[in-house]
Amino acid sequence: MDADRKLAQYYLQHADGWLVAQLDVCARCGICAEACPFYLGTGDATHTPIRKIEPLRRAVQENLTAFGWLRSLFEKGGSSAQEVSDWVSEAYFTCTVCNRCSLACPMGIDLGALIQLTREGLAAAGMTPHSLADAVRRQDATGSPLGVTRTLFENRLDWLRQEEGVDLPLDVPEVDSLVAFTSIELIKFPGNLAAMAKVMEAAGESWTLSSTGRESVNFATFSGDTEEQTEFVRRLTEAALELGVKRIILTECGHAYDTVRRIASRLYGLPLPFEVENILETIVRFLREGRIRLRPDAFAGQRITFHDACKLQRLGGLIEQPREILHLVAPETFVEMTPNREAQWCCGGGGGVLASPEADEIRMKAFLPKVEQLERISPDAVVTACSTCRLQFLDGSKYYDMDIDVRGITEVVAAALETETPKGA
Amino acid sequence: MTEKTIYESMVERGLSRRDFLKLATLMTAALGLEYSQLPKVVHAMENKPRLPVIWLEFQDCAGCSEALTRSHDPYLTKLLFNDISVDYHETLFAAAGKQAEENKERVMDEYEGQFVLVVEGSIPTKDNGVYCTIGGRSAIDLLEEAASKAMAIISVGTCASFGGLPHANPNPTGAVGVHELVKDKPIIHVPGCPPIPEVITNTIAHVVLLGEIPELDALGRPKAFYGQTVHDRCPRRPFYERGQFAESYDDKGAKAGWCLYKLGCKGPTTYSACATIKWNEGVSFPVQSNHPCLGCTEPDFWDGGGFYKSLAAPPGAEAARGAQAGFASLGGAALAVGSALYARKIKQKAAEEFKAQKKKEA
Amino acid sequence: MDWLEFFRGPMFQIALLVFILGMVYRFLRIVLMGWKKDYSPPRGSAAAGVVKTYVKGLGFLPFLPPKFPGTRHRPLTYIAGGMFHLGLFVVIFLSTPHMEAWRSVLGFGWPTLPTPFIDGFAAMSMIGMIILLSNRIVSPVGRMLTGLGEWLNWIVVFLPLLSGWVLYHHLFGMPYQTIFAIHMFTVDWLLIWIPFSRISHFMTYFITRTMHGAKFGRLGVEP
Repeated sequence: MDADRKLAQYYLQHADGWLVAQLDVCARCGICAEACPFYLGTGDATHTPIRKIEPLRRAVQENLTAFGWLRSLFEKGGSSAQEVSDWVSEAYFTCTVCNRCSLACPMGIDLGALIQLTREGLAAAGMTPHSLADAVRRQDATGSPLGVTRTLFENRLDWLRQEEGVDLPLDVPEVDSLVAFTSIELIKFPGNLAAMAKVMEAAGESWTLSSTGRESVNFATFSGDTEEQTEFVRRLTEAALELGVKRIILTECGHAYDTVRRIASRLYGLPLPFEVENILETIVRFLREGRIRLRPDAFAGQRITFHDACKLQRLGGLIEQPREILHLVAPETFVEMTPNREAQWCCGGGGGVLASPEADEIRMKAFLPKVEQLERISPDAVVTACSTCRLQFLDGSKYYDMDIDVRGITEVVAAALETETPKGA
Repeated sequence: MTEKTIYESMVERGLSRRDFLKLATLMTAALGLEYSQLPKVVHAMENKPRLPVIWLEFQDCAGCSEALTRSHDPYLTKLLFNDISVDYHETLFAAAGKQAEENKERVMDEYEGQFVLVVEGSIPTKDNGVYCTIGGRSAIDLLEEAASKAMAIISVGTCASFGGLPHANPNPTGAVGVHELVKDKPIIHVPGCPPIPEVITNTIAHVVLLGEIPELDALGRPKAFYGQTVHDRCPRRPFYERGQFAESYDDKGAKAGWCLYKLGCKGPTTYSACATIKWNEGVSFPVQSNHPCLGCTEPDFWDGGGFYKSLAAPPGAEAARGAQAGFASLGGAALAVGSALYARKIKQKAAEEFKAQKKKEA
Repeated sequence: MDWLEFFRGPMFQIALLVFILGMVYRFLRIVLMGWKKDYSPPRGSAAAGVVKTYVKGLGFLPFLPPKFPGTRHRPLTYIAGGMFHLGLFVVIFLSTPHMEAWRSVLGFGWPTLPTPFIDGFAAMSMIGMIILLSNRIVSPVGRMLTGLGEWLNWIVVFLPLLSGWVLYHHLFGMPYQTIFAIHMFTVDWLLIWIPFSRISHFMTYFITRTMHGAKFGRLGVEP
């Protein structure tokens, strides 16, 4: 069956008043392009966000509008292979689904949701790019897109316990919190886990890790495979229910926060049988309850700035929490980039872009607005709460020869913990 | 009743050459001609005899005749009534009945091809024109007879020119202007409801004294008097430009002489000399007296959307309001329901196809 | 019936009815097709999000918000767009002749602005439109996004502005009736064209903007 038909099948199933309104109201003004790091980094107009949803737009226009139907009578032949390949490239390699375009759109079009829907259709038609499709398959088979099996997981934990001397409780039932981190952190930023463990201990939190619910990353979110996306979340939430915890704490991952909350509510209805908290909220909770204290001289003399991760800050709303934290550890030397908060420039690595080698070159171009931002304030370190952003910053700072430290916020907090015994627990 | 030239008859009455030239100069100005045309006027009056005038009234109110008698230009009125024989005028004539009619027939025959026919009032055409008959003959008939023998026709008033009030919706008598029935003679339109007295007299004078048709605009009106709009010469124009409009007849704006656009003034689309020549010996005209211009020199001014509705208010909007708009909304709603149902069908079909496809691939 | 009477009368009537039918259709079609319920756990108020998004979009000059992320690199589209829309709204709603036209449609009127103000806004609107058109021709994004629909929309909106300007100022020595007829003709076409084109975004805007504000307000993030 040809590509157009397959795609139309998926999109039309999900065509409702919302979708028709979104596509109807676009005035072709091009302001969305001005907000997209991929357009600004390359100057290439084909990366205009409203164009990334082209297969979706076409399917709805040709099947659900009078003019579109008339036009389709004249434009026979369907889309060429090149066109389809371009659609895949636009949707997966030149977009992080950061939603900056949606924030800028004067019509209030929810472009992020439209691009996600576009990906879902492409995935359903079997057009997911190889690297992402492989990663999803690996996550399905082994529980992690990097192939971290249960055995590997447990071995790694052992190593970390020894190396860092931290307590990493595993599969302990009836505790307060289940901490779910990402296999990215496990492999690339193990310091995150050690830091997290230290913070938990200092706060006296009753917590555990889970061997079945060990992965918060969800590569099916990137690929748009809705069934697998639900399955991956279910593994985590089932573990939480089995353990009987009050809450799931998600560590430094961008998309996990929104994905887990949204899909959990679909699986279990509202209110959820457990809270879903991001590590930023956890740390702030500890601070406000006086369970941990941070030293204001921990980063004396170091200019620190914070990079708002798209999924956590713009789409997650966790904007003031990192600032509350960083103002405590660097009260004199914390600086903001411009723009910041929900208008912060996307780093260009999220949404699966970093995982696709085909996008290696272009994501460095998309990093250019960030380079500009950093050069203007010349910080010594940039702190972020998302591991993908962290990887992108590491790659980008090397590529552009920038002398800058890239830190995860949990490590920053752990390094600034006051060593006297805090109150509580 | 004369073969004497106009000049000769004036001399007979005791006017000197000098008086005559003064008169001719005044008349040249009154006719809206340039000063360089004076020799032409003099020559015409020296060589042409007076032309008789037959004035017919049909479906009219006699307002135009009333206006005629208010013409204040002494020289021309005198000229017209003393030196030009108005050989038939129902309203102004003392004579009546068969004698008057016979007189008319005689003049028409004697001066066939030479007299000027002035028509006042519209001509009803429905039901064979039975709605206006004089002496047992229909207006259509009377007009046809007179027009066939006339040299030229002047339609005085909007009724004779374009149908006027009787012509307005729903036009129960089938009223029409002269030009719809007479196709083979030159017709000058002097519309207005009524026309400015001086415009009537000056136009008639131009034809009768110079023996020629003045320069006419696209609607057949003398350009000298209908060449500009009331708006273009209106003393309240600066208020229009500034956007200062009276909201009612006695509000602050009205008292200050502000523009009457919002009260329905049709000045911008009305060609007439009201703002320059004015009325009652140049005393005033409607706008100056704080009443919006009705646009009475234009065809169909009665049906133009409403005297007191601003020019900017489209009559089409009034017509579409209410029931029609309601039906349009219902139509849109019905189409929307149909479209939504169709979309649902497409959705279901897509879902089924998708499921079937998935099964096939599994 | 001459052209002016026709374009003010029967054709305006038809145009208005087509406009009403078309806009009702476009609106109800969206509403009747419905939308999915948002099952994500709420972190904030949908209503607050709606209020916030309208304040951001309409609270300043439309599309001239200093906070929007897109403006930093090229504020041109925002500013020209704002000039155009603001000018257009003032001319359409706050000029005396148009208010009279609205009165004949709605049955009631309202106070209006003096002519020199309207002149300024009309000029601003036309200049904004010309800038936006040039942007569509010159910028790569503009060129990519501009098709036949955009050209037609521009012409159909520009002609009433231009002809209205010529009409009100009695330019080019044209007889008032002629230019008035042209103006009404262009307005009739605008009314007819709106429901068939993306110009109807002025209505759909309120749907998508409200949905956007509600969704993001409920998520507890900036709309």
